[in-house]
Amino acid sequence: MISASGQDDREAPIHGDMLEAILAHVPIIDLVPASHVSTAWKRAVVSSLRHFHKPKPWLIVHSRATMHAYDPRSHVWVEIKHPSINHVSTVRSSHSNFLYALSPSKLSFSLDPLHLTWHHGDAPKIWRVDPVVAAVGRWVVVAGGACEFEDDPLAVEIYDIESRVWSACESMPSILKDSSSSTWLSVASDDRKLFVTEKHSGVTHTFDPKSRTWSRPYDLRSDPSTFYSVIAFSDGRLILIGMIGDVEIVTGIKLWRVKDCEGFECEEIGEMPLKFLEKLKNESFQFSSIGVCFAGNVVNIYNPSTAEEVVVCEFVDGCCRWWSVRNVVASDGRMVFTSSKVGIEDVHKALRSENRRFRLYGGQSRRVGEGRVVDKTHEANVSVISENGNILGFNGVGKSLGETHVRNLSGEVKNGSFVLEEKRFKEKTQFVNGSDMGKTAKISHSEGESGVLGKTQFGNSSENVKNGNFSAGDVRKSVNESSVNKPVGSTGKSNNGKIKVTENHNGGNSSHNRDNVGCLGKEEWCSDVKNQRISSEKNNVAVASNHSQSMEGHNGSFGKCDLFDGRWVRDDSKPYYPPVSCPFIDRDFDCHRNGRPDDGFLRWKWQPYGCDIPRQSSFKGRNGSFETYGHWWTHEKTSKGEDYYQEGNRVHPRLKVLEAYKRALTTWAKWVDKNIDGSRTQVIFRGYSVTHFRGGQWNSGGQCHKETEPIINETYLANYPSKMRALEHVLQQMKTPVRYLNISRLTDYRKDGHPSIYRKEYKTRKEQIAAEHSQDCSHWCLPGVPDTWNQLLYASLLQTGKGSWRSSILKTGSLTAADELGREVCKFE
Amino acid sequence: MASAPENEKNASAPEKKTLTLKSMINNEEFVVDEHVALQSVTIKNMVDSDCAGDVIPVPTISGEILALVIEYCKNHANPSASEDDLKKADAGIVAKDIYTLIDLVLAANFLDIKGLLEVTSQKIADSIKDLPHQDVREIFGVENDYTPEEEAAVRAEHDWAFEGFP
Repeated sequence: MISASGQDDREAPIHGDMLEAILAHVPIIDLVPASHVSTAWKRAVVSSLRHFHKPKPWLIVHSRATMHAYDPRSHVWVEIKHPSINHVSTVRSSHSNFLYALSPSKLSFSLDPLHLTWHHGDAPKIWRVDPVVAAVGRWVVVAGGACEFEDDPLAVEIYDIESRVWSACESMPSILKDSSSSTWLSVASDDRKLFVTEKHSGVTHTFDPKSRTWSRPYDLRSDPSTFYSVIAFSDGRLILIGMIGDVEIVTGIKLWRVKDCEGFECEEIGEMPLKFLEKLKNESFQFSSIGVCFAGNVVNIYNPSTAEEVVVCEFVDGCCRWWSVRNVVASDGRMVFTSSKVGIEDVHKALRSENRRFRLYGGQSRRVGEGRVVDKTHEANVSVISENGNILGFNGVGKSLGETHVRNLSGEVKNGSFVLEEKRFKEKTQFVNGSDMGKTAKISHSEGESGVLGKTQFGNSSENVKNGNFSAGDVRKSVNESSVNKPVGSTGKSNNGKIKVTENHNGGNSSHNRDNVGCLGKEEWCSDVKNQRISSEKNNVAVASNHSQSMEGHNGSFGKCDLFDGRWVRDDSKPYYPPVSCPFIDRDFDCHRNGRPDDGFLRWKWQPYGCDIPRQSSFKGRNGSFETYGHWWTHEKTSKGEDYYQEGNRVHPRLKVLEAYKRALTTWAKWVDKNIDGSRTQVIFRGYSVTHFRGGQWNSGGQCHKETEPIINETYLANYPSKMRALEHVLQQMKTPVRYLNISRLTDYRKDGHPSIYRKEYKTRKEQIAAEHSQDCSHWCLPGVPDTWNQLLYASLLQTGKGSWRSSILKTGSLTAADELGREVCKFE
Repeated sequence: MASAPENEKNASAPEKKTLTLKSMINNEEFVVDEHVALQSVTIKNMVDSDCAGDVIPVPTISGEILALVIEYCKNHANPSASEDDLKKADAGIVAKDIYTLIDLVLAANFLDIKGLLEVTSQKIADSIKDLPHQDVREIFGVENDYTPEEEAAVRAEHDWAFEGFP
C-alpha cells in the first residue's frame, strides 16, 4: 500500500516543491502578484526562481512611446507601459542596458534594468552629432562624432556620474578621423575600460577614463573574411561578432571570445546555424550589418534594417545555444534595443515606485505577431516629434502636427536620420531609395555636409541620384565604410567627385539613360534597383558631356532666360510617364491609382516667357524628387515658436517664424560659404511650393478636391511669400553662387495638382465623403507638377553649368525645414 | 468487480501483462497494460521492487482523476502518436476547471509522471496569472498571513499592475 503525501496539510494541498514547480511556469511579471498571496507563497516564488527556473536576461525593445520586452525564461513578450519621458532628443543605446539621449543642452541616461531612473546632466562642451556614448564604471564617456567644420571631430569628454562634472580627455586616435561616430563604431565597456571597434575594419582601441588615454590599435579580426564586426561584453568577457563574406553574400556570422584583452587573442566560440542566418537574411535583401545587444550570457543579434527576427545565442557551458524570437514590435518605426538582467525585485520595484504597468503581450509566442502597428498614422507622435526635434535641432514638441503631416514628417525624418542600427526601411528598401537616402545622410553626416538631406518624400530616383553623386567625391570614407553602399561604393567612379553629364542628343548613351532613369517600371530598372546594383553611371544625373551642343538646340536667349517667370500653357503631349505606371511613387501621391477621375491637370506645361524649356528625355520620369517643407515653417507647426527653435546651444523661448527662418537660412548660408567650393560644387536651393486649402487649413477642413484647372487669373495668386523674400535676401549676401529654383509662383497657379482626397483608396463612398475633411492640398500628384520642377532643374543645370560641369559636384539645397540649419543639419546621421 | 477475474486470466499470458489500479477514494478499478502504467515512476518502483500485488491501491486519487492520468499514459505509450497528436491530446486532458487541475497535478506528482506534471503545472500557472490573489487563496486553500498594512500595500501595488490596460 502506498501512503499518500501532502495529506497532512489540509489548508494548502499544493505547497513546497509542488508549488515551486507550478510557479516555475509563471512569468516573472505574474510572480509579483503571486508573491502577494501569502508569505509562504512569497518564499516559494523566491525559491522557485532560484532553484527551478532562473531568470534570463530580457531583450527590451524601445519604440516610440512604448517598451516591449521579451522574457526568454517564459517565452513571453511583455508590454511595459511607462510615463512618457519627454526627451528632447532621440533615445539611443550603445551597449547592453545603457540608454541615453543627448541634446545640445542635456545628457540623460539610464542604466537600471527596466530604465526606471534617469540621470540628467549638462551636455558635453562640444556639440556632437553622432558620438560614441558609453558608461564605463562611474563615468559616461562621450567620444567623437563632433562636427568637423566646427570642432575637433575626435574630441573626448567624460562625465563623472558622482560629481556631475565633465572633463576633457585625449582625443580619439586620428585613425578614426573619418569614422568617429557611433554609426561606424561598435562599443563595449566593463567597469574600467571602453572598447571601440571600427565595424568595417575590426580595428579596436581602448580608452581608460582613469588615465584619460587611448591605447594603440588592435586588429580584432581573426578571420580575414570578416567584413563587419561588432563587440560586446558578456559576463566579463569581450566578445566579437563578425559577419563573414561580403555585403552581397553573407556566408556566416561567427562569435569569438577575446581571451586576453591585452593581447587581443581571439578564440572562436560559435557560429550561427544556417537556418537562423537565413531568418536574418530573409527579412530583406538588405543584410549588410548586424545589431547586437548583450546581457549576461545572452547575445541578441538582429538585422537592423528590419529587426523582425532576433536570433539569440545563449552561452551554456562555453558554447552557444541558438534560438530565435519574432520581434512583435517590428513596426516601421524607430527601435532601440537594450538587454538587461531583470529579476523579480526589478519588476517589484517598477510596480512599487514608478508608474509602470506590465502586461503579457499576446500570451505565448504562438500569438506573436498580432500586435503589429497597423496604421502608422495612429502611432503616438511624441517620439516622432522628438526625433524630429532632434533632427531639426529644435528643442520643443510640436503638438500641433497633424496626422498626415506627422506621417510625412516621419517619412522624412526616416530618410534624413538613418541610423544604421536603429532604422528600418522596409518599404523604402523595396525601392532602394530609402537606403540611398540613408547613405546620403550618413555621408553627409560624416563629412558634415548639409543641404542634401531628406526631401525625397517619394523616394524617387533623381534626388537620390544626385545625392549619390554628391556623396562620391568627398566621402571616400563613407562609401568604403558603408556596407550598405557597396553597390554605390562601386560608385567608385564617383570617387572622382564629378557629375558625369551625358547628353541625350548624342545618341550613344541616350537609350541607356532612358532605360535607367525612366520611371516606367522597366524590368531592368526594377531588378537593378532591387539588387542595389545601380552603377554610378546609371545613378548619375545626366550631364551633357557635350552640353554646349545641346544648348544650340534651344533658342539663343536660353542662357539668360528666367525659367521661373512664365505661365502654364495647355500641352496635350503625353506626360513623362503614364499615370499609375511608376512603381516608385508613394501611394499617397499616386492619385490615379487612388481613383482621381480627371487627368486635365497633367496637360499643362510651364512656358517661360523668355525661352523654351528643353524637354530632356534623359530626365524622363525623374519625378517627384523634391519635397517641400517650406510650409512647415508656420506658427502652428512650430509650437507657436515657443521653446521651439534652438540656435547653437540656446533655445529661444519665443521666436517668430519668419525671424527663425531668416536665422536658419543665415546659418545655412554661412555654412555653405565656409565649406563649399563654388567652383567645384553647384549649390541649388529650391523654393517651396504653395498650398491650396480653401475654406480652412489642412487641419480644419480645407479643400481642393474639386479643382481641375490651374488658376488662370493672376490676381488670384497669393502674395509672394515673405519667406521667399527672406531667402532671396540671404542668397544675395552669399559668396557662393547658389542656383535658386524659384518654384513658388509657378506652383501657386496649380491648385489643381494636389492629391486632395485621392491620397488613398476608399472602400466606400462614405469613407470618401468623410475624407473631404482632411485633404492633402500641399503635396502633389504624380505624375504632375513636380515633374516640371525636375525639368526646370535640368534646364537650370544647363544654364549655370556652362563650361564647368565636368568638375562640379551637384548639390541640392532644397528648402526643407530639415536642412536649412547649417550646423543643425550636421546632426543628421 | 467484473474486471478482476479478467485480469487474472490475462496475467497468465506474458505478452499482455496488465495491472489493476484502484482508487481508494471511491474504490474504482482500472485495468491497464503494464507498459502504460509503468510511465508512473512510483508504480514502476513498486513493480521493480516486487511490492505490487494484483491490485495496486492508489490513495487520495479519485477515479475521475485516475481516469485522466491513465488516458495521459495511454496516449504517451502509443509509439505511433506524433508530437502534434500528443500536444493536442495533452491540451484536451488539461482543459479542466482549476479544482480538477489541482487534483490532477497532485496525482501527477504522487505518481511521478513528469510530462503530466509539466503540462498540468503550466495550465495551472496560466490560470494563476489571470486570477486576483484573493481568489488564488480561496482556490489553493492558502491562509493570508500578511498583516493588514502589508496587505494594503500589496493591494495598491497589485492594482497598479493591471490598471491602464484595456
